[in-house]
Amino acid sequence: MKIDLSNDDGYLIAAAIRGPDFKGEADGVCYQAFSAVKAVFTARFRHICGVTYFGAEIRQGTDLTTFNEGVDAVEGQFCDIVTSFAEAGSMAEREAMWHVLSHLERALQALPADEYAPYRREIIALVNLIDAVSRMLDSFQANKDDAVAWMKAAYANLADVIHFTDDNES
Amino acid sequence: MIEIDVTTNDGYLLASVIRGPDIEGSNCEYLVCADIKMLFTARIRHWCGVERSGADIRKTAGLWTTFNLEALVEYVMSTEYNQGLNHYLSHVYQALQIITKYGEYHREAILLLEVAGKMCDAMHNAYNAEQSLRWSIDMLVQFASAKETTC
Repeated sequence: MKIDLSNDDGYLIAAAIRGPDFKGEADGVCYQAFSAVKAVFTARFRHICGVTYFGAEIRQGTDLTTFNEGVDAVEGQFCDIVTSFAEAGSMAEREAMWHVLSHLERALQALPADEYAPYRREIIALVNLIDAVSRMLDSFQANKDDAVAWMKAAYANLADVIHFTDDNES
Repeated sequence: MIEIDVTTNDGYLLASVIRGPDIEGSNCEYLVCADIKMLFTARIRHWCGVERSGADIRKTAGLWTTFNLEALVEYVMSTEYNQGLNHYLSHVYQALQIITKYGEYHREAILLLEVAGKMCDAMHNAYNAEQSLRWSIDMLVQFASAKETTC
């Protein structure tokens, strides 16, 4: 995919190619949450855009929790990890997460509809999940149960859709 | 202007640096990270043709009037190993290595590459890192003022 950075869509797509700037200990909740977001969203976005760089983590297959080499990218469940982050992450960490998610959402929406028609359902499911995670980060204290349930539903929907997409790809 | 095709290695590495650092933290940290973004990201965006309103873009080699060298050096020298900043700088470093291939931007890209390298050295407590970082920024400032003089 060639990107024209002189227009808004090109800029938004390029801005989502790099994963989040992780911080903290590798077994800490913050690191794990950013790692999970990278696996589920960034790595898949790269695949959709045609990235093949050997050092980049890319998610090509149907398994939401593994990268291209079959290496586990998310130890444990995405929803549990993100919920723990919403509970334990600092305000600054949650703002950094929101920043990353907003870039990913706008980038997915900026992909040309015709060119990416085979991924249309999956892109919608990814955007829905981003919305659900963002909403949970915003309203975790006030509305924890509903926010978590909404995110789990969005994640289950994505898991269903991605199988459909990859069937089409093959 | 540099064109980006993310299916190539160079394209991927350049696209990876179009987003700035994921800035966070207190007011002081925020301002320093904003300077780091203006130093590297904003300049690379300009070289790659970004024109989006709202995106920080640096169109000249010169540093801006509010650039605070002391705050930058103090932050880099005093901060404990910062994985987030290190990740961002590693992408900056790789992107600048590619940009040095472009004759038009070659010299300035090398100077920025030097600054990024010295910042990484400082975060890893390398010998004489503070002095090296100051020198590398001095070189960049001299280059910018020489460029303005000759224009």
